[in-house]
Amino acid sequence: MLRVEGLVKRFGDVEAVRDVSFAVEPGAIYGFVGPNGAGKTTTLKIIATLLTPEAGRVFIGSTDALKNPGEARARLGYMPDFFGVYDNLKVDEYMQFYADCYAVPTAGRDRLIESLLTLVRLADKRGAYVDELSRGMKQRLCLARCLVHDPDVLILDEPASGLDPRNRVELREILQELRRRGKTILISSHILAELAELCTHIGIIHAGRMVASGPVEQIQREAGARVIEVRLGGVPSGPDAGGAPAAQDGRLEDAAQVARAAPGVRSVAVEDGALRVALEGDDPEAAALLSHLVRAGLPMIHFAEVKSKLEDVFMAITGGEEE
Amino acid sequence: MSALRGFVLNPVFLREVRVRMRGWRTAGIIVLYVGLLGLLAMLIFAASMRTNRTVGFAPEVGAIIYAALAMFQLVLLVLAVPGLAAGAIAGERERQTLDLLLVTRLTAAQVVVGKLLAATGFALLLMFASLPVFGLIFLFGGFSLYRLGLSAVVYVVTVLLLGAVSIYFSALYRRTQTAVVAAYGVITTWTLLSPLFGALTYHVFFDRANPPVWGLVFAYTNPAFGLAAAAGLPLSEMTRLYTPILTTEALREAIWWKYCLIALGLMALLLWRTVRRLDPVRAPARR
Repeated sequence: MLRVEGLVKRFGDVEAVRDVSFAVEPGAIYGFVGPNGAGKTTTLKIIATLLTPEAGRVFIGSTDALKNPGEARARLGYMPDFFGVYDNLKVDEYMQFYADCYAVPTAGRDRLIESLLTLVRLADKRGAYVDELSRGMKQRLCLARCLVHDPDVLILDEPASGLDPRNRVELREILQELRRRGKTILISSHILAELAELCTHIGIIHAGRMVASGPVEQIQREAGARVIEVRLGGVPSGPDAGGAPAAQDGRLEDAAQVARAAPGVRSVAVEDGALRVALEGDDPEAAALLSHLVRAGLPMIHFAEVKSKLEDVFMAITGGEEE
Repeated sequence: MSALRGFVLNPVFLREVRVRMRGWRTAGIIVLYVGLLGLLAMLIFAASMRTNRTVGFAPEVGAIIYAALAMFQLVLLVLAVPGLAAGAIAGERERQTLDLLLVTRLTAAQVVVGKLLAATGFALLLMFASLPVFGLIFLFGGFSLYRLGLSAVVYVVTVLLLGAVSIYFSALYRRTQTAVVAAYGVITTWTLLSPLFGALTYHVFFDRANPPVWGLVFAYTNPAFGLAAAAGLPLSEMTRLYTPILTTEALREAIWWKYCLIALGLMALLLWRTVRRLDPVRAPARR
């Protein structure tokens, strides 16, 4: 449904996107993951026909989006990472305005808007002014706006950013409903846990390059990283024994430094009071890590392989770097 | 025909008009505008009656009031249009709504035309609202409907040109404030200072017996001269500045339509540049 081939985009001397290619199957929810500045938004803007790349092609179905941007826009719904709303405009007028902009026929339009507002749980706000809505409501309204011309593909740039947990859950439910209705969704986010629950496929972009793309399970497999969870006991002696939170964090960070020096370790993350060590290799490497940590005198009370999460895959692939 | 209608009456124009007409601010601006013109008309009338002491038909009083109102209206429009138009596109950028517009099926040209017509349409509404004040001058006589019609043509062309200049700066700069300052700077400098500069050029620097033809650039690009030529006496006296080159009355009167043609050409050029800047496919790369 969506195919991106060899995208290259430069801003002056900065190469923001370098030879990015991926494909999204019809009906898939594709999570586009990467650290800040990795090139996610630039790639999404090129797909949305808002930027022209130096090289590469974008296809929405059979439509070449760069050659026929008008046709591509009719098949795309785009929600940017930051967007505003107009003052002095009611929710209904806002939807009518964008329906006009997309040349949606006026016959049956009221019913369409009603159904979209119901989908995003804003049916009771139809007469409210858009600039008076909460952030979560504006986000959902923007999603309804994306759908007003019934596009095949939705491009959502960080749709959950800045939302409280309740609004995030609601947004996730709406996206799942849209998938059930046959929409193909490309969604970027840095909240990886949410993407793991939502996405069927993921693509990881790092420093402008696509480093992995495919079904979530495949990426987890191909990342090849075993994840070892390490927990430390309290320090038996010394001034910090008692474990103030800051001191605990300091001990974990020190332990993470030690673990990073072990052979075969790709990355180490500190999470929920434990170390999650992404390890390249097999049992001998795990044994070497254990022995390295013991030699360093760390008071380990837990050392076990755990199922890798999307964060681990991401950390393993990108080496835990931020741009 | 319906395609042209759809192009002109596009959603951007209709939304801007709807939102602008909401609330008391717009009505207040109209009342203030007409009030200022009316006040000026009354002051000039009082001053004229003090000197002429005419009773009944007084064409010279009517002509003076008309000339003053016509020029004052031009000054008001020069001051109003950049304020109405210079935030049109920069404002969309600041509000972060521009990308949402550009991913719709509207073309960049439709967005620009919609913005231009919404901003200039309000200026034209102000002009329309001022008609009753101009109508009062009929009581005195001294000017013709023909001249009023020619003046209206010059006003409409001028408003469109000023709107196009303002919208060009609005697309050029990311911030509304910068765009407004740039538009006011260029427009007021050109319209208010160029007649002075033109006069100095002719009477100080050039040989009056054999002046260079390019000096006419000040006449043919300045709305004040266009209006003066269109409005007839006494305003057309202004065009006598160019008698060394425009030796006949007919040549001096032709300033108005030559100004209109040049202004429309300039407007088309600016709109084309604005559309090129706005069109995502052709715009210069920006993060």
